Amino acid sequence: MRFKKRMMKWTVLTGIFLLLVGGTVPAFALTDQQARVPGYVGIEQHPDKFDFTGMPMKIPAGEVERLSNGKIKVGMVINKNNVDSVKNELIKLTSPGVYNMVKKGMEMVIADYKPWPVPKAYGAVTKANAGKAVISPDGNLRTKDGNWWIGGEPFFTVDERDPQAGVKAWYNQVHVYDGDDFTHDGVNIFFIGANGKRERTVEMTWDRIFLTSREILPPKPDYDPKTKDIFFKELVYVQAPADLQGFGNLTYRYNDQNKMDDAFAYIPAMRRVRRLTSGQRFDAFVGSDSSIGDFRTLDVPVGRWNWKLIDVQPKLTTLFSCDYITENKSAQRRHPTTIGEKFPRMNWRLWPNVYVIEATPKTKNDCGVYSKKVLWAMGGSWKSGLSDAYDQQGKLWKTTQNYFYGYGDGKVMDLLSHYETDFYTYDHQADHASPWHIDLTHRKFNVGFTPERFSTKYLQRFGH
Amino acid sequence: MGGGRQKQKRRSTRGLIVEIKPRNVKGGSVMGGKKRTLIGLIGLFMLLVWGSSAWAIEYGNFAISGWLRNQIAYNVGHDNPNNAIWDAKYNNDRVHLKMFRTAVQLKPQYTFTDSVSVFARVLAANEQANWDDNVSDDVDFFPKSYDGDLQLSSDNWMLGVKEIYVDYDTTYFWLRLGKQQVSWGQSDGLRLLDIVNPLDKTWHGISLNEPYLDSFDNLRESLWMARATIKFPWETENMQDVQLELLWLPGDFVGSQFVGHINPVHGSPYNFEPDYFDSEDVIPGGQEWGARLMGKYKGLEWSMNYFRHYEDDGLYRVVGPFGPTGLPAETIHPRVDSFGGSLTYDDAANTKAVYRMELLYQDRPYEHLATADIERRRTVRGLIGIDRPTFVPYINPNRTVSFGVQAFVIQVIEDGSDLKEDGLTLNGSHPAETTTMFSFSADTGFMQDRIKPNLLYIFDPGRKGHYLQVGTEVRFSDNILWYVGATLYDGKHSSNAANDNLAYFEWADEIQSRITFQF
Repeated sequence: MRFKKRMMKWTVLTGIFLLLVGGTVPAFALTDQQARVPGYVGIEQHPDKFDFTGMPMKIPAGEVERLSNGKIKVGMVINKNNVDSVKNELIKLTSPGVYNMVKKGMEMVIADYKPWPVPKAYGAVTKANAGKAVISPDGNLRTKDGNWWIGGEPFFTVDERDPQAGVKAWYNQVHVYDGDDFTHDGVNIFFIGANGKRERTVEMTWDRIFLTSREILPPKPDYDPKTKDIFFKELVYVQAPADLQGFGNLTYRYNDQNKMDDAFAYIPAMRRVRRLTSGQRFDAFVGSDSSIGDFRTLDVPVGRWNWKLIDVQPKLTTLFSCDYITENKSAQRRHPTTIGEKFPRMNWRLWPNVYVIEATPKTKNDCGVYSKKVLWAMGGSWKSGLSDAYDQQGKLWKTTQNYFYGYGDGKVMDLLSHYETDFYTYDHQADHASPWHIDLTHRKFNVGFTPERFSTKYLQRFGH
Repeated sequence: MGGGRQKQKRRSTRGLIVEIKPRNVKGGSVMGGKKRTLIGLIGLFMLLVWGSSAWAIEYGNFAISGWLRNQIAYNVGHDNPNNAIWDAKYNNDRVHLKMFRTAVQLKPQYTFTDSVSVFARVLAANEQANWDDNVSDDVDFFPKSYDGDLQLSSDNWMLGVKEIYVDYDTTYFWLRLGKQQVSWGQSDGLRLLDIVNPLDKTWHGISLNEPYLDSFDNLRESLWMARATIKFPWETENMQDVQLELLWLPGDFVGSQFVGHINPVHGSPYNFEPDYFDSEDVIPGGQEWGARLMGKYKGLEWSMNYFRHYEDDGLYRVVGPFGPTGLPAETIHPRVDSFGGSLTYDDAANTKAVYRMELLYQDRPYEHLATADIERRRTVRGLIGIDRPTFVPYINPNRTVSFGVQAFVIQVIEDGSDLKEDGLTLNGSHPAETTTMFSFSADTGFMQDRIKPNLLYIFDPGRKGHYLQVGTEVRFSDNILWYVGATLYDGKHSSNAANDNLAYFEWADEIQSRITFQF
């Protein structure tokens, strides 16, 4: 059973050659323009499929100009050369974090208002459950008869004079339409240095199933009475780079917003599922600038933070932040950027009523790194587009954003699809960025997953 | 069912007498005439660094990823005492270059449907530690050889299929058939329930090199087996994700055979067995099987394990007086029934720590070298571990430091105090009634995890032994990783000339460099 040495050498050399050839083949990538994808028209083509309740179809022309004393206009590009001439107005219409990012090289394209509807099926559940939601004394969202929330937006209108306005607005954000399950294949996290160059890439797949508050797929609103305490189960598994390939994470999120997640990880090199602590939600996720606690701009058990409404005001937001969208399965999206890949060059559109909330951890045990986060919930759509995080000394540290691209057009993608397309974190102190591209072409909503898929068995099966 | 025993001199195991030819007289340089190879390797790495932005390659349902790696280990310890006890022909001069290995790994996978896929891990390696004048050119660095090993090798080369299996997966049932690895338990570095696959210690010496210096999947030997997992379809509010895992290792039933730990041969820089043993490995022919029931009760993750197997370490049985080839002995692998369990709990809200517990019970066989008898003593192994990622701003303001502590105990609960009096040993070492060890580990990441230092310290208070492992990984790009680290053993030496104390392994101290191009 011994090889002749010569044979071995040739075998290995052939292997190395194949590795070289394989390794240098570039990924097949097309921009949207190259793929000749027509402009995104989902809502315009199917207005009857969407519910626009709670938001204006139009806002008065020149509203941005009026709010900025004539300094900011639709069509204008704000960049580092002109940002100081609009400094106060820009901070008022965005945040100190956004101003600093523009100073560092980001460009903002000011665009017209567009309403952000929800799918009709989801809107119908919101209407059917209107008036049933309460915040219980333990800080949890329940129905008036004491059960966990049953789906749709819990507080469709939030009175800013209500002492609970902050937490109600944030519970609306927690329950925005996500489908009853989803899968995102090919989520890319990029690590971008100060010079704009890509330092690292992590590619992963992200699946989730909601076990309560289900709106579209039967069984609803609960998948099974036995799992009614679980809000959702989530699987994340890494596809690349090779040393992380197969790493998987299974998370249980509970409806009790005082309870931390249960988290399990499969580590391929160990061939073993290990328990992870979910206590450190603000540790850098796989070393990136984002943490699990930063997802959706702030992803924490709601009961363990204070939510103070600071104001309700018009803001420039990132809904429909990109004009084009591709449904070509072979295409890889390339949106414009500045300073290499550090800053996305996106459309910013006025949203008339953004709830600005100051969120602070109740104890240092709940978050030991941030003193506070100032974040947005966009009234009516209730998405959160942005948050500024401050360190323990009160200094601006990170800005986290969601860039929303829009709905499916009913051809390739389902009309019930919509989600933030880019998740983005900028570290002001390190001048470092972590954009996440969550490509629409590789995602499906309302797949019909069963909870059994979300198990440690699956982690081991796919982690190898 | 093949319950008989086979005796064979396996190249892979202890007792093999390596025929030492006169060493080539080389120049003073360790590299000697191998410079071209070295320059070629450096050139290849440079080409890969500059020429590629590679990822795993996917063609429809086929995907392949892998790496090209060079590992160098430099001895900073003493001479290896095991290579020149019996036969003066063996060289015991201090070896400087313990490892110069270049390896390629490919992981092809083909997915037929969501339920059916095939996976393989193919490994080719070249070892050139004998560039060091004090390592004989005749040392077999890849001595592994058993039925069904799927490996072709010479002294310096190997090409093998490390793993190959097919998966069939449905909602409640998952079957994996083929050469594979199964890892039970929750401990780091110290193995309790992780008893299904043996270790291939020819790859990188003794097992303490995991997890940082070398990864488990290289150090563990894959075995032919069937693994079925049944997910229970019923769940309650409190009891979830309940699964029953069944393992069957066919032994010689289908052309494979039992495989114990695979040890470096005499003359190897990593040889840890005194060379006066001239041992034959007696390979049991029966099957092995196991079961694991596991699940989650409220916040508590639990498992109950049973494994009916053969002793992987093997026990010595002296079968004759010293002869010209050493002390004739047999290495036997008695049956063992292992019962165990594990618990983990995440106290995320309060202490932000994960607590782990693991227990293993065996009626464990011990050897009696003088009488060639095997005696059993009921033995329990236990472990308690705590993992706590902690923000320590003056060490790392952006990233937690992952701290881990473990307390590990082996307690012989049946006549343990008589072990010494009864003359019982375990693989030549002298077990105590109670063995306790503590470990402490820490790792973190700087610069978006492009620099990842780590530390592992193990302390045996009873025998005053220490083990320290420090190192760091540097990630130059998505494709190029470099690890540099060191392992150091120290402590009070035992009066027994046997590997029963960490201090015994002082000769294994090394500095290691590992550079990897991955795609």
